[in-house]
Amino acid sequence: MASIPLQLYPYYWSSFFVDLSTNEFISWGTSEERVEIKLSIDAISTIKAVLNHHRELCTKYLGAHLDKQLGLPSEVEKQSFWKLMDAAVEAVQLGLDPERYEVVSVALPEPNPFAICADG
Amino acid sequence: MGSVTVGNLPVDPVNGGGNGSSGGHNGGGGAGDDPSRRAQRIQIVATSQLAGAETTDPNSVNRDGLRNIKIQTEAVGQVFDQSKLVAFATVESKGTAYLEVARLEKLLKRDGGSRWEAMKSYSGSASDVDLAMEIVNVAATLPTGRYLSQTDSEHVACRDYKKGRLRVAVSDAGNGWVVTAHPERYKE
Repeated sequence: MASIPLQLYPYYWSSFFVDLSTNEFISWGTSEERVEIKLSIDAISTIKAVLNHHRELCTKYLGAHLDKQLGLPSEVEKQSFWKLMDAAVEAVQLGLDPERYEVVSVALPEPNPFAICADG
Repeated sequence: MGSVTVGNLPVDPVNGGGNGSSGGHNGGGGAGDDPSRRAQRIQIVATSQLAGAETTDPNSVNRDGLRNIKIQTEAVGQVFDQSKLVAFATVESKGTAYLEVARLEKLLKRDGGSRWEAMKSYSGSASDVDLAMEIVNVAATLPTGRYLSQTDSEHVACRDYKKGRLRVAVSDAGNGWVVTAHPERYKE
């Protein structure tokens, strides 16, 4: 039984794992001693591809503080984002210790370039 | 700490003024100006640095760029309560922006506040103002005076604590301001 329920959550170009039991982001990387989740270089690169694409969409479609919508990504852009996300989920699931972690959900990115809440 | 008097460069009202969340977008760097196509020069100055600048000879230059701060303080033309004001940011061709604690809190408490509280705990900040200052101080460690490109990782600044890390991301899409900050947990 996995002890930590994880959410995969692309959070402005930098973070990806949230421990749903504490709502904390978890440090991740390939080798740093203190990082909580260690992953292969391949898994890291797929995560970074998602995060980079997210940032590109934010840069293109969100305003000043990234909390104002200036346009909407095309279907093609959305699909390429979710395709990368699917690849990352797969890579992550292969690389995580199944005794310790379980991926239970995949969150919308924040800020969300697909649609921003009106209350900004 | 009293107040800081500042003088009359164009102010990007997005961050300041306390007049609500949306009224300030001036469109100056808006939709027609595609930020993904070019790099921007971003500089962030925390008010902890600003306070020192007040006593600096305006003609002097030091390694921390205090002359720039003096220029900014002379430029904005308003008086701020320093307990609320946490920093200035300048972005190439977009003037100076400023940020208040309330704005930062609003930005970073979208999740209900748990991350804000976690950041306070990680960093040992005693109050919301202390945490806001800490976040801005971390952001201010980003290299200044250089051009940041779309693929540059320099938009994210980190500070390490015992339990975790404070990660602060700065926008290259808008006015070079703190976009988000979050606590990142280390291995126990």
